[in-house]
Formats: sequence, C-alpha cells, structure tokens
Amino acid sequence: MTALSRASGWRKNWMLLAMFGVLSLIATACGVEDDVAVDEVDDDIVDEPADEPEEEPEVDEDVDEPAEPADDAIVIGHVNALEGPFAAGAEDGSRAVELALQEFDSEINGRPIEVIVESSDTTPDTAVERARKLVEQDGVDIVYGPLSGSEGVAISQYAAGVPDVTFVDASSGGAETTLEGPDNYFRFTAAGDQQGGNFGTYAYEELGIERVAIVAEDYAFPHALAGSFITQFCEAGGEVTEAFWVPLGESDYSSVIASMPTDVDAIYGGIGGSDAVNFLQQSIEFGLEIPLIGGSILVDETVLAAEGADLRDAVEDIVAAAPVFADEDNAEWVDFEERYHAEFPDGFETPSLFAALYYNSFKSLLHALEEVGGDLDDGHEGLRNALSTVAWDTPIGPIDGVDENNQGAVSNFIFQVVEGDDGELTTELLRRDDGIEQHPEPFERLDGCP
Amino acid sequence: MRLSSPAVRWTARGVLLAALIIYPFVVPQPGFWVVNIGIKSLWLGVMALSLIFLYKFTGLLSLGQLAFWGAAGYTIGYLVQLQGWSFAPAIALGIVFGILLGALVGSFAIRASGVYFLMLTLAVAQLMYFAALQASQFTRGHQGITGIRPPTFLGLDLVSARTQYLVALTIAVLLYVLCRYIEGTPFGLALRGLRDSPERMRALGYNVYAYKVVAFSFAAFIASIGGVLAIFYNRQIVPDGVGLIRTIDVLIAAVVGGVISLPGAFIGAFALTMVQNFSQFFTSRYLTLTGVVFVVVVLFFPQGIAGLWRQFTGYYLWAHDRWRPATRDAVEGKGVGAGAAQLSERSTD
Repeated sequence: MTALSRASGWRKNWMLLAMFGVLSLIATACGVEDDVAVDEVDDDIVDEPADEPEEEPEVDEDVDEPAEPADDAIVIGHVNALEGPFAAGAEDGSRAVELALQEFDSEINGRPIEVIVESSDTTPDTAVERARKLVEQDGVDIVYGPLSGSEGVAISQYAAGVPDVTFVDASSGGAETTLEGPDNYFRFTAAGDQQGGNFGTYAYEELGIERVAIVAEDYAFPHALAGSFITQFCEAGGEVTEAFWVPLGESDYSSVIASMPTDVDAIYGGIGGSDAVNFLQQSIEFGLEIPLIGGSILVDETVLAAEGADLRDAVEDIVAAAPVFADEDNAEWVDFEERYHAEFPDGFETPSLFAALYYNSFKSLLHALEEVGGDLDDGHEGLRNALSTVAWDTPIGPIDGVDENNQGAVSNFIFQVVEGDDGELTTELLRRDDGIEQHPEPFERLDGCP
Repeated sequence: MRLSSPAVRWTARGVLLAALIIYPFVVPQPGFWVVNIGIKSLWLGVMALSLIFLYKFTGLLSLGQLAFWGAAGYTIGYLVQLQGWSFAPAIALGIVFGILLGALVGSFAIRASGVYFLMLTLAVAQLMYFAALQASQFTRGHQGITGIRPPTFLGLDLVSARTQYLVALTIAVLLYVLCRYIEGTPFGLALRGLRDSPERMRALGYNVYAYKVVAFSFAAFIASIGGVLAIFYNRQIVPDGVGLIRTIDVLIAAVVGGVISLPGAFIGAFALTMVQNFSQFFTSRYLTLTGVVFVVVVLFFPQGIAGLWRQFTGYYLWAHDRWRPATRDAVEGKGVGAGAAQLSERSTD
C-alpha cells in the first residue's frame, strides 16, 4: 500500500468519524429538546416496569411470543438456573412449581396464571439480564426466582429500580438479599445463617461439645452459616480454638488436616459440593479421628451421592443442621412426596432440596394471590400485604409471614447420618426448630468467638 | 451504480450510523431493547473487537481478553466502591492496569502460537477468575463488588439508558475507526507482515517480538475499555463475570460475526445477544443453543455473518463458471474457475 492510499484510507476514517459526530450531535440535541422522553426511558428502567396493558400486545407480537398470555392473566416471570452447576436442582424446582400450580388449577379467582421461564446460569449478571427481560419486554406482574445466593443479591438490587413489580425469591440464601433488599422483594426460604438454625447451641448443650475447630469455605454463604454456629456456640459457653477458611474450589486439604488441633471435641465443616467430597475423602485418608459436625451443605444429598467416593467412614454419625429434611412423620411432607412421585415418576427418589424450597416459596406466592383474589390493580399493595402475612403448613415446617426485611422465618432440622436397616446410610431426625429468624446483620468472617 | 461503489458504501455507512443513533429513541420498551440488546451488544462487541484485532493482525486467537476486562473492572470496582475514589481516576487506572497486565501476559504468551497460545490465554482468563474468587480483600470474593452506580460524566448521566447507549456507541465507533486506521499505518502493515511471514519480517530488521507484545497490549487496551462499559451495564463485577462461560461468549461473538472482519465483532455480539435473549422460544437451555449456533457457524459459515455475502457470491460465481457453456469459454478464452479467481482478488474485509 502506498503512502497516498494510506492517507486516503485515513481521510475516509475521518469522514466516518465526522459523520458519526454530526449524527450524534443531532441525536443529542433531539434528546435535550425532548427531556421528557429521556426521563421516560429512565423511569422505565429505574422506576417503572413496562407493564402498561395498552402498550404490550403489539410489542409482544413483534417478538413472536409463542404463548401469548390471556388478557386477564397474572403473568409470573420465573428466573431459573436451568444452565450451570445447579441445572438438575433447578429442573426439580420447576417440578415443584408445577405441583403448586396444579393445586390452584393454574388460576386465581378465574384469572389464569401464566408462567414465563427464563433460564439463567447461576451467574448474577445473567440473572439480572433475564429478570430485566421479563420485566421490560414480557411485562410480567411478578418475578419469581432465582436459585443461588449471588443471583438473589443482584436481582434484589435490580428490584429496587422497578418498585411496581413484586419479586419472590425461590431459594437463594444471600444475607444482603433481604437485609439490604427493597420493599418489593420477599423471601420465604432460609438465608445462610438461618440454615444453621440453633445448631451452635445444640452442639454445646446436647452433644456436649466444648471446644471446636472450624473448616469452612471463604465466601459469604459459609461466613453466615459458620458465623451463626460460632456465635451461638460461644454464647452457650463453648470455645472456638481455630478457624480454617479455605478458598472455594479447594481440592487439597492436606495442610489443613495436618494443622488441625487435636485438643478439640469436634470439627465443624462449613464446606459443600465437590469441596466437601474432597475434604471428607482426605479426612479418611489422613486418618482424621476427631468427630465431624456440619453445616447444611456438608452432608447434603449431592455429597452423600458423590460417585466414585466412598465417604461412609467419614460421614457416618455426623450430626448436621439443614433447612430441608425428608421427614416421613410429617403429613405435609408425605403428601408432597407422594404427589411429586405420582406426577413426576422420573424425578428424584426423594424430592430435592430445591424442590422443597421452590414449592414453599411459590405456593406462598399463590396463597397471597388467592387472598387478594388475583387483584393487582392497587399497585400490588394488597399482594404485598398478603405476602407479609401469609401463613400455611409447608412440607418443611410452618410459614408465618415475614419480618421487617420481608424475610420469612423458617424451620431447621438437626439430624444425624446413620446406618439404616438395609445397611445403607440414611438420616435420622434429632430435633426440629420452627421460627428461625434471620440474623439482623450480615456475618463477617469470624476467626474465633466474637 | 454498483453496490460496491464508494458512494453506495458511504451512504450505507451513514444510514447505518443514523439508524444506530436513532435506535434508542424509537424502539419500544427501551428498558429491554436499549439495555439488554443495545448496550450489551456494544460492550460485547468491543470485547470481540479486541479478539478480532489480535487475530486479524497477528494471527493469534486469544481466550484471555476477559482477564483484561476483569482487571479494569475490578480495579474500578475496588477503587470506587471500596476505597471511595471518584470514577475518572479509577477508570484511567483501570485501563492502565488492563494494558499493563496485557503487556505482561503478552510478553510470555506470544512466544507460543496456535493451540498453545489459545491454552495459555485461557489459563490467564482462569487465573483471573480464581484470583477474583480468592483475593477477597480486593474483590469481595464470591459475592463480588456490587451496587456500582454509573456516574455522571461531563453532564452525561450514565444511569440513563439512552445516554449510556450513546456513550457506548461513541466509544465503540471510535475504537473501530482506530482499528481501521491502524490497519493502514506502517505499524498495522508490519503486523500483517509478521502474521504472514515472521521470518521474512525478522530478516528485514523488524523486532517481531516487540511488535506482537505491542499488538497484544493494544488488544488488552480495547478489552479494558470493554470492561469499563460492562461495569456500567452490569453495575457490579463478580467472579462469574470473568468465568469460562463469559470467555466463551466473547469467542462465539467473534466467530459468529466473522473472526477476520472488524465489523463482524459487533455483528456477532448482536447476534449472540439476540440468541441469548430469545432462546427461550426454542429451548430453556440457552447455552446449549448458543453452542449449536457456534458449531453450525464454524462448520458451514467459517467467515461468519460478515462473510456471508462473500461466501454466497463465491458460490454464485463458482456455479456460474461451472454451468457456462464450454464453447463460449473457448471463444472467450476463459477457463472454469475464473469467477473464483476474480473473487480471490477482492479484499478480505
């Protein structure tokens, strides 16, 4: 290329730039002259959902929505993590939503309930994008979801900008979601600290544990889970000798296990998923003989069912606390489980944690809608009042309204992993505590008794 | 007037620019169409532009651009949200940090090529992900830095969707023009030379290593600006934002748009954004659908959307040559393949 042609190319680029500048100026000028239009956009994004009925039909036609909601339908947008690491749990949650809808024949006071599902991937950025699409494009009345903690925090922050839409959490456990969340965001399932229940007190008073070491993942959820345990345990008179905060995704626990103090009565594990499998596996290999006790994620079904890992020696006799328990002595659970199996023969052997949590939160929403006769014309005031006072017996304990942060109290189950009659590992309920409320402050990382 | 004549091309560019500027004022439900589609396409397009620039001029396909995006984003998030800085110095420092990280990574990564370079840059992206996850005193770990409110710059309130869109559009156009300008400079020509024949360029006295490091750093600069735009869009920066899924998103946007075409960056980003936003009409597995689209494009449309015209023109010319009566060819002295040869003479862009 010659210098001449390069110069010519550069002149063309400048022309392009100049053309853009001129057009930008024109557009900006139009915008300045028409401040109302700009404000309207801002209001649409920050304050108002695009749910004006007279505007929606033609736009929905434009985007070729396959299942056009009926004119009088109550439209619920469901942000569900159908992609990513919790896809199986999210799918099971959808089954529970369907069960709850069937109980109400998918209508409230003659108004059909339409659910539009948007898939997220457990990342907060995607969750907010999906929620925004449901609110702005689909014009939903209510947003239901999401599944995971960081998604919940992000969506509750988004909810603050769309006060005319009501949000009901599905199963996320982030503390800030409700502690710092707006008035239009409700949660009926446990925050991280609630998942610990009264386990700290129980460990000291009932299990006779006086000194404990902590091993937990170093992020917000275990901070809350272990934080509630440490606080209660210390208040009861116990001592936390040392806390090992390991990075999420840690696979090598050899140094942690080697440094573990030997003069403690138990080790509290606040780790979950594949990290828990690795920790438990290595605790067997290293011959760790100190008894383990656990947070809700240490011995959940995903850990116990981990393929290729024989964790029996490590998990047997572990006592742990969780917000969901398959309690065969609870009539509501038995009914829920029977209908789950009847409707979804290909579902899990036992409804998963997500199925139970989704069922609780979605049915709470339906109860509240029923109480107001499906009437949302008052700017959702009636619905939000109904959500604040909704009360019913769920398969995992009673729900009875929400606190000043719109967070419901939950039940907590303390159980032990034991060998069943058939020789397989099973769980035995030791105690159920109802009315566990959220701690009023988010827990920071605690390295010992506060 | 021929479609390829300068007048038609400039008119088309003008119309396109006008349409892009008018877009936020005319679309229904701007909270979705301006934000979810418009702004997202622009910042993702800037990210794809950084990848395409590097590939087009050096032949290096990087999966690490999100690391520089993250470096800039986390620097801004940390300084503004956790240290109370104002946005202007934080953004400047974020971009500088992104460029420096790019120079550092480039200084060792460009010694590799092909799949080794791809793996090295992927490792860098994953390194950023785990650093974001574990350096919690700077990044707030798994939870990320949230609640970032876009600032007001020079009287432009970036909370406003239209303003943010127009600012993003301006920056995207400036970066695009800059890349096109570089294409014609001695630096750009040298880069293309060392892409095609590094040995020959070395023999001519060019410092191939230094040129590649500078190109890599420039691509990191573009990616860092993408990080600035994205942090205004997302209003947060979290480890998942620099995770594997988002890394693949940038690659898919570039490939779908056309990995050797600078405009393809934005075309691909727009296409990917549309697929992700409207995938639920076909399936709830939007990542799976995105993957299928990616495979189809790689297999059947290797030049991406930006190369579709060229690809189908090629088919037409090939078919035209093939079925032309042999006698006429004999008379005119042309053989089969003349059309294809004619095509190959055209510019790749």
